[in-house]
Amino acid sequence: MKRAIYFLALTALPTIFSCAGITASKWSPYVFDGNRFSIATSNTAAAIWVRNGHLPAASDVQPDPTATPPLPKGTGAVAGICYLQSTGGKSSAQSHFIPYANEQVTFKGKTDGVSVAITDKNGYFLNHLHKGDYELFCRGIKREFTIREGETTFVPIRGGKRMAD
Amino acid sequence: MKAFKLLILITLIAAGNVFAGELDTYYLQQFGELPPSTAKVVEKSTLTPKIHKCGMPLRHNLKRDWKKLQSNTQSTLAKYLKTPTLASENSLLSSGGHFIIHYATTGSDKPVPAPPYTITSWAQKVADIFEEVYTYEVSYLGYSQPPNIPYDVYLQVLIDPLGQSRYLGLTTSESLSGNSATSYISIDPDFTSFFIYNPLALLKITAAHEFHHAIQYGYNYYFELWYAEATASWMEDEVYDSVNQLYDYTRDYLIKPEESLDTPADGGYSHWIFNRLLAENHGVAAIKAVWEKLGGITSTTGADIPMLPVIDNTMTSMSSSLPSEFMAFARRLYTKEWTSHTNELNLLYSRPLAIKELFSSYPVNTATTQASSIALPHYGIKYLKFLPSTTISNLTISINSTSGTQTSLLKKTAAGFSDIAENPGGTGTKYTYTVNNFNTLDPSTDEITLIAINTSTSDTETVSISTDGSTPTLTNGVCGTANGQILDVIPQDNQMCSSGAPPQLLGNYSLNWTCVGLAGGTNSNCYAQLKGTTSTTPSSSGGGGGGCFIATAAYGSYLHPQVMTLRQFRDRHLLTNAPGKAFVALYYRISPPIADFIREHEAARFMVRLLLAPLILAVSHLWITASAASILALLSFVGLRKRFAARLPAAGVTI
Repeated sequence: MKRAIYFLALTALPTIFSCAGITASKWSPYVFDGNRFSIATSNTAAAIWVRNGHLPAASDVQPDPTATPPLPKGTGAVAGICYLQSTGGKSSAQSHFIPYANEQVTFKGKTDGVSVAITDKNGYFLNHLHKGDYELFCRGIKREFTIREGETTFVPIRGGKRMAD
Repeated sequence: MKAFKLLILITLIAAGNVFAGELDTYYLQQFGELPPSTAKVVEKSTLTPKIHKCGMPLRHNLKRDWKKLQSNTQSTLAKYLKTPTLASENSLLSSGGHFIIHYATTGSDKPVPAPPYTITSWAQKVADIFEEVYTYEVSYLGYSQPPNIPYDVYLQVLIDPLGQSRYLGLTTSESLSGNSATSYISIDPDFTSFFIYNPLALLKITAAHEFHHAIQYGYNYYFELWYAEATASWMEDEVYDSVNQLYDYTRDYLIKPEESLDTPADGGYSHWIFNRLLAENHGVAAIKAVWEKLGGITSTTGADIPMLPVIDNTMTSMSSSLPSEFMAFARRLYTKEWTSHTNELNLLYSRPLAIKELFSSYPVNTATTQASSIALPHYGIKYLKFLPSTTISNLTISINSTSGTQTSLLKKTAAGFSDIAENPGGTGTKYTYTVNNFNTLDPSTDEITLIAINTSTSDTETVSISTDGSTPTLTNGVCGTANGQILDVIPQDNQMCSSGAPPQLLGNYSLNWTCVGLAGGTNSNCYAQLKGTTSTTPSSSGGGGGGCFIATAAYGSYLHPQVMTLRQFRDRHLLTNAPGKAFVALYYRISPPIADFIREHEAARFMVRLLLAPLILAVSHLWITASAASILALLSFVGLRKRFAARLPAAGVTI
């Protein structure tokens, strides 16, 4: 009987911890503020949801944890936005950004191949790539970034610039 | 045989769609749009992405070769040529061939120009003005023309994304090749909705401004926004010297000279005046040299290139430096010794330069109540005035400052401005200034002013001052003869205050000031109104706008079209009669504190905008309002008559 209890304890404990590990990896929503991505402080209509070891999701609500598969071994994720920066205004100085929706963005690996993603209605794009250094292109503008295994890298890219007044 | 020919034809058409030509492949690759089906797969996983190649787009060439491309390629690349679409568009090529003016002939974008122009003659005028601007900026000043000539100019209504204001013009980047970007300009169709300047004047400065943005994109897409606006605004007055709208913005800088040169709150419009200093010191070509210098720099991170080092490098090549130019700028702002556009100084100084501290009690040190240590953000300026005292024959000012700062002490007398030399400091003091015969200076006209600047990149630099001397006689500050008056020009100091220290200007746009008491004497708040503007009685916070305070607070800018509508109504219909003037005077007496509150609360701003909407609608369509009021009055009168008649006993009836 004692042996049975020991056996149960030895097999059950790792199972409990591994379950705890999964649930501990919660979704965190990130939003773009015109300059950078930062964690959303309130409910927001459109965010990029990030979870350790998984492909991120662009969603209005917290995604189902099973909705996105884990990242394949040796890969990391990239999430970002391609936008038009608009600045100035003589009668009402302001700065804002206009997302480029349904825009193709291109990822070019320094040692790897090339892949693409299409932005959603909020200008957000997602992809997973092998770890390493990359160039990102949107509307002819280039940005460099690095992918680390199991991590999500945020890359906002200004695809255009508009001077007002 | 017929069937065979048909089969051959179908095969050829199909082959044409499958195998794009070399030109098609070139452009698809340049724009990073090579269809995934033709690319090599390199990723191997359950999440394998589509594979692609990428290159740099060349939109200008794409336009040129557009008709040579296959339909599939055209549909893929069409978005790169997507420019504004206008209803029933017409276009015309300017006389010099440098611009294509696109305009609508129907719909909301259709120009409705002010007389005597027709749509066609207005479009022609726009083309002529842009050619004029091209001649000045490219042919005369020598700037490189934008990469895409003939350049597209669209006439369309431009509403900001919040729907609150109307833009005069926009310049939007298109595609990048190296550092250089193509762009296109959109401008208001007719400029008839902006009341404070006439449409032709606004067209001129907008063309000068936006075309310089087009030039800037050509030099380097990664320009910093503030300097782009500062240069485009400066250029307005170089091309069209008589419009002078740019002086509407300098007041924002003059009331806050401590604002960092490269981080202006208004986006950079007000900082155009720094370019005037550079142009006066080194010729107008100095500004072009800055842009040419920028053109040779590559952004390695995709971020905009900081302009202050670029200006510094340019100045170094002219045997100067940015720090020395910035000190010269701070001095010139104060002394007003500008050498160009001198007939516009009254516009530049429509509101006086802000003095950060005014010392009238001595000694000044860490034990006195007035600040003896001032903080300076990078490339910010602060002015400190020392009022003459009858009890101090020689005033010694000791300076202890951090390494990124510089100071100058200027003496202003009837003979003009002179520098007071710096002396070596002692223990705990970096250096000192000694003002000899301080007690003989006339407090009403003479000035001793310390100019402090920060030419480092740090925002935590400080200048600490201390003086010797003892406290002078107590004097109350009393308003001068200008108080409460409507004036043509800004009054002299002795008209603003009859006793006490020279006036301390309050607020942003209103002509309010305080006559500061000396040595613990009481202060007096005073105000005046400049003709063509409005003024207010002093408010505790000194807020207010150039016109309708509450509307300005609600809409965020005195230049907002809705505010302009109200200002126009005030000027045309209220200030032209006695009851209207009385109403305006009452309004300006009570509105500043309300405006202060509204300005600080977004919900209040929204509510006031909501409440003002029907009023603005009414005043902007006066004849409709008047007609509606007349009809209502008539209907009420008829209704009353009927009701009155109904209550009267009918004929032959006795009650």
